[in-house]
Amino acid sequence: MVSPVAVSMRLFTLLPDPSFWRSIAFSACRILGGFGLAALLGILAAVGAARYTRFRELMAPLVSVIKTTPVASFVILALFWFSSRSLSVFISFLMVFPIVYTNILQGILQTDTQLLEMGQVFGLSVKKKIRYIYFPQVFPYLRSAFAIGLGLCWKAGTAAEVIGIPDGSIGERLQEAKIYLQMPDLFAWTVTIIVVSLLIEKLILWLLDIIDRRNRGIGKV
Amino acid sequence: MTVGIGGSEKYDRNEAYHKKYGDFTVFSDFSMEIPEGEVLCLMGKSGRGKTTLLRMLMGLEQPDAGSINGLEGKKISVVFQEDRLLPGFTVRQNLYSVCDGALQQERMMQILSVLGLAEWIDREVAVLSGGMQRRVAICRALLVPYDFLILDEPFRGLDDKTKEIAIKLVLEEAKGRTILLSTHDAEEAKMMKGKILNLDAFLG
Repeated sequence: MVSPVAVSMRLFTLLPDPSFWRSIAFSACRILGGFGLAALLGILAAVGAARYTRFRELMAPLVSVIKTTPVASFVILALFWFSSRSLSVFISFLMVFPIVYTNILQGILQTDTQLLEMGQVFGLSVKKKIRYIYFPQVFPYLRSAFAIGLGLCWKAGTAAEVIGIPDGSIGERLQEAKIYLQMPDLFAWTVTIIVVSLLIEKLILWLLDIIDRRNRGIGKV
Repeated sequence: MTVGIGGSEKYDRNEAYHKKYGDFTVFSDFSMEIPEGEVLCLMGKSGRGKTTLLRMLMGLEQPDAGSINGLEGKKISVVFQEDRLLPGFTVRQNLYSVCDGALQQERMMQILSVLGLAEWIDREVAVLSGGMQRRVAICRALLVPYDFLILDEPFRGLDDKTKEIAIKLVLEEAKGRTILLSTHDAEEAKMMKGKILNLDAFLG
């Protein structure tokens, strides 16, 4: 084992190193790229599935397969299809998509039918229905999906990088730490991943809360 | 134009209104008319189909057979049996949400003042009492442009004095427009000064 002091010392030596930040940027861009893609497609697919039962039936087995297949299998498969540089985008996408899709679909299906009827009778436009009825009801599901998805995509994304070892990634640095038995490095990078993941999670959830508050017009109509 | 359920002005058995829920028949060979610009109070025991009838007029239920005439191109406003307010939004936003730019600030404030809600306009509806939420629902129905006002037990939960104020306001605001009220309360129906249609007697 390694002492917290040794880990802290290692972190302090890493912090001024530009390659430390480049590795974080490399992995963060790809992992968050996969997350963003999954969030976008997950929301669109959930809207489609809520609207069309056939589409929902088609999506169900696909989502189940993605949810149950081991990450390692996907990583190895993906290495046949993509370059290792894009690996974490794909893996991050696969981790987040089912969570976003399932949560948003659930949120839409649970939308208060009494409010939907009210909107229908008063002839609310689609824009108003989304703003006043759907968004507030789906928001807690979206927030929860993002909170879970953000943690998972970092876990799975860096695991994929450790297997694929793309140049300049956090995964490569972890792999190096393992090969050269550099325990302080391993812990320093682990702490870095945790901190970056938590900061990004807090930032995205804070932005989501701002969107929610704006939608509810807090401070304005 | 008169609103006709189960056919137009003359009863036609082929157009008669039928509605069943499973094996339970709510309406069979039913027909009625709601004269334009008048108040019609629908009374009857629970389960007689008052709400079903109102939902059908709102387009939320379809009859198994029969038709409705006279609602083409008409704007409907409603106070539902439940408040159906937008949770998480203020009173003002609840009113703006249905009015589509047609809402006049002065009129809104006037109606809110009569119902004792003016100072609550920027508060979230969730913090309002049950009676206040009911009044917001009434206010919303009166502010939206409409030709036909449907009221499904709209004054439930209001104390006598507030009920009296609300009824007076509804009659003033909806003057000249068709009102269909569903209620259990004979006194309420009397105060609305409309014709009474008792579904118990009608359906036997």
